Amino acid sequence: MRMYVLLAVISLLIKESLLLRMVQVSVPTYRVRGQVAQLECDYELGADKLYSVKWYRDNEEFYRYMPKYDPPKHAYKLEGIKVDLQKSDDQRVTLHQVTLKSSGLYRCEVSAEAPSFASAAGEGRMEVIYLPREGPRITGNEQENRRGDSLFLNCTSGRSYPAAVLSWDIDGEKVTDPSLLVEYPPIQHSHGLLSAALGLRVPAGRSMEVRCTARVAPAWREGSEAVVGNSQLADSKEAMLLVRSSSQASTLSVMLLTLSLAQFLTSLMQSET
Amino acid sequence: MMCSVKWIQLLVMLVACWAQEGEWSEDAEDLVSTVDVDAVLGRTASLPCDVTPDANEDRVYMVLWFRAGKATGGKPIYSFDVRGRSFNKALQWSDPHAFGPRAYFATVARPAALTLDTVQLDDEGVYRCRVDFKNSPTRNFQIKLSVIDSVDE
Repeated sequence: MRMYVLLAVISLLIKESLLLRMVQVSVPTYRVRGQVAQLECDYELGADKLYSVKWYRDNEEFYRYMPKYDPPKHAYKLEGIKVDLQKSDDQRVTLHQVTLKSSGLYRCEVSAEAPSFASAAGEGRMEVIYLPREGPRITGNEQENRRGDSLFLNCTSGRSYPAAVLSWDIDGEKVTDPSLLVEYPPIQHSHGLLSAALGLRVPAGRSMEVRCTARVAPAWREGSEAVVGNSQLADSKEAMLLVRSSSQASTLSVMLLTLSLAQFLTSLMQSET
Repeated sequence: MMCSVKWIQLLVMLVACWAQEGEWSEDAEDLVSTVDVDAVLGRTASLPCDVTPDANEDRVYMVLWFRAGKATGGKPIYSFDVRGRSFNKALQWSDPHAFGPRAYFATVARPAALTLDTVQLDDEGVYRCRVDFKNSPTRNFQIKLSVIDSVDE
């Protein structure tokens, strides 16, 4: 009796393994603009023969592999997608130099030949990022600084995607007091690039070191573990300024002008490309 | 020690099974526009699927109909195979566990449509029509079929 049950289970397992099965679709979560992207579609045909492998980005087909075709590989034109046919086959597709327009939901659909035409699919999202070339810039507002009793500084990040996250430090301590910070919406540039801006009210009457840090790390959604430990996908740049201000409003702007020259930039992680 | 290794292997296998990406689910196709079709119980329903190629020199290669959510092992419930034959001599197959002889892919209709006779309550659901062309990119349509018990007079 036991033997029969065992045989039944085994035959069931064999039958299961004869069917087309999607093992895994791997799509890189993040790519830096200009990089190559390799998408993989790992499936098991079982006893079936292959009819088609189709790749879609946001439901638009851009690559197909059909063994009965001559040639079996074919790429369709889609904005932001350039297929490297040489490096693409029935299990993977390689994209040349990705752009910000390459971002989207990538889906692989595999179908078996007649008579079953059994199909399986899997998908993954890819986001293309652009790391800033320039560090943040600290500027002062002449007019603002002439009247108030505090110094007003602005920090603007270099163009990137996604927008940099800015923060201010005074003497090495992060400014968290919202009354000292002025938030602005990100500035839009061509090709979808953004730069962030953050204002700072510096209390007058003492000397201090102010620092603005611009961080670009695409950690805005789940599955961003890929970013951790991958320095190519994160970038941090900063600008520093020494402020020596007196409580006399008239001298503030003069000081700022001189000190702007002391601004320097460090790039912790260089973007490639 | 051996035992724990086996347990880990089993766990890995289970995780692998769990992570396995399965059949088509209706949520996955959120970018495909959905056509709503209402059908009356016992009457005929028509699920539209435009198979007219964009380019004149192109032609349909294959049409596959899938049903979302039902355990069909990823198999289509209807296939229309034009490969190596003329369009009006396409090889048509209807899954006996799904529509069986109740379904027929009417290609003379504009747009073409899967005609479904004597609609049953159980037919209610989401369907996908996939059209493979010889040259043009594949088209996917999603059709949501609702079955109503009777017509309000």
